[in-house]
Amino acid sequence: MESGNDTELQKSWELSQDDIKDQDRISSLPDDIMFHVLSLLEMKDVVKTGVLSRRWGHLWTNVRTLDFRGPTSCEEEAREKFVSFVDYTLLFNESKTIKTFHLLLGLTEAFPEDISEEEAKRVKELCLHIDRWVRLAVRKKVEIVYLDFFTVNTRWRGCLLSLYPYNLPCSLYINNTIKSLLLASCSIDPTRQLQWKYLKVLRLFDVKLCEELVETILNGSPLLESLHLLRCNGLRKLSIKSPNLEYLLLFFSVEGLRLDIQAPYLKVLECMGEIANYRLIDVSSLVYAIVRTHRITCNVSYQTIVTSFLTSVRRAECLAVCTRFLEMVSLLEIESLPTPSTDCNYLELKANLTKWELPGILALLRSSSNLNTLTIKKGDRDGSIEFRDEYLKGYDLNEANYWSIMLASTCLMEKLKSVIIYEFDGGSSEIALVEFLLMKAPILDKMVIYSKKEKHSSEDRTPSASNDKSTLYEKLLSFERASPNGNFLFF
Amino acid sequence: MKDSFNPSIEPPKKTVTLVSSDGYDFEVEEEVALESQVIKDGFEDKAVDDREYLLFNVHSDTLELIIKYCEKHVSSRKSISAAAASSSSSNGEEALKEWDEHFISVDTNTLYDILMAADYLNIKSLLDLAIQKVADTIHGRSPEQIRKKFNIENDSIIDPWASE
Repeated sequence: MESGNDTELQKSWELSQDDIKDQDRISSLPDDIMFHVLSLLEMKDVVKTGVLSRRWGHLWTNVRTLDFRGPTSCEEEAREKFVSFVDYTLLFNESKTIKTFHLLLGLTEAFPEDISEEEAKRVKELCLHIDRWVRLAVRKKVEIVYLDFFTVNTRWRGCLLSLYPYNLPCSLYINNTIKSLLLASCSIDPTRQLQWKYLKVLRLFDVKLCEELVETILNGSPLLESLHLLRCNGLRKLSIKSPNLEYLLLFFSVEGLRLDIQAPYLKVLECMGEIANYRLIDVSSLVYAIVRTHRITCNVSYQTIVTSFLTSVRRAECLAVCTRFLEMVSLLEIESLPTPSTDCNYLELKANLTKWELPGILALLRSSSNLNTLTIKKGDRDGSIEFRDEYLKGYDLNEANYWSIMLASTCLMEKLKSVIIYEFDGGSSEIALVEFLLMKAPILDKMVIYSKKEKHSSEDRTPSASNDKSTLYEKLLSFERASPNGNFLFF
Repeated sequence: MKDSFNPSIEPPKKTVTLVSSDGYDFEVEEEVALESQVIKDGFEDKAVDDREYLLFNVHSDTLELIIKYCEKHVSSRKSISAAAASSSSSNGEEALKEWDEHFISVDTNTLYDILMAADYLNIKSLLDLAIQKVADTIHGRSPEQIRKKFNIENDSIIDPWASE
């Protein structure tokens, strides 16, 4: 038998390795890391950790992020259980101050016309509980508050009305700790005084608004930087005078509704929903305009909608448009109607490069004479807008040939310096566009193409796939270029 | 992206030496080492010829991983910022996210080592990644499953939520 220290040493080392292997090392992490871990979990998971061991026992009572998610059904028993869970958790919480209070809960599934007296009473009681929780969070100087009474309620998802909004408790009207607030399916009393001294981000979803209320909110939140209004009915006019408010996201999808927007200091505007709803009266400081509309009614007034939108945001340096919007611009082009010129130097298109979009892309390239950077991302997947028969003949074009025919057009991107294309899969329409851009952009400095992500089964990656890629690359490289010195990157 | 305005002509690569707790030297490019806020903070005060860092708390096995992570992030940031200065999200970032996910799929011990090293070296993105991984492991599991996953010995006397 070999004696000697080596073996011994080895043995003890192996032993210690084994020890480590079975050791609970996660529990020996410092408290701040443990709290960070717990802050990423909803309360149900956090509370559970309290029983793991003594080490974990005191942690959950000291967390500063409280994230409560109610049951998905509004069944009475589940609701009661949830209420007592929140009650106990809050009772145990020893933090002097908390950072975040999230509450996701459906108040009731009953519709107003067939709600029983009993259920109405239960909802009322539930709201009293919530008032109490919110008051406690406010007393603990909470900074981020999410009160969401919409998301959980599956039965309401289809309808956009607040059937049973939660009335904002008085503890929330005057507050000077909250920095970020989200209210979904809540009701705010416009006649009350309101002051959110340090509020920077406000997101309202399914909250009934009126001009008076919005004015009260904006006057009461002087530091507000970012405002999201999603499916908030009742508003006809939005006037933002605060120079601090730089970001506005709008999502109004009710047809026929009109919202006049006057926001001379606004920097970023993101429009979702029905674009015909928005009338941009003054957005003269706009830097970035984003259109992410899921629906555009294709009717006679589409020209006015698209034209007036583009005209209003013409001064913005950056413009990002979705597939639907491109299709509308296409329609203008097909009808030989002028596309308003824009000053933008950055243009981002979400496009699938189908024939429904190509004329629109051409029109936007032509009308953006300052264009410096063009980014093309994969388009939204939903189907295209319905085209009336009368337009259809205008679309008698071939995606692969379109650009080579358009080479003769006047579209010269004189200032275009870089092009970035994402999820390039080498389709003929894509290749044709690359060829077009290379020929039409005389000072193009950089063309970056990210090929479509291959699924991650690395062994599966056949040599032919990478061969295809290099063949494609060579093909792209072989195209004639207006700017011979530009860089060509292919990932 | 803050690095997008770096001049494209790069000076010759400078390197620093990182020494692990078990005495191995790792020579890495300066910018890779600077991913660590701790190294970055004291960097300017150190003499150019004395760019050696003794990392008493980081074992060579872990340090190798940490360096791999930082190298990946430095290089991918370069390619992303080269691609799009003003674009907020991109393929490149998505690919990196996927890489991260794969990188952090390690056993609990390694995860712990990475966590401690990322904390010690103050590499915020890596720390966040590792912490998220721990949270993901807890999420949706029963206490018994969590104990098993982390080798936690149940030494608590009472179970306040026993009725659950």
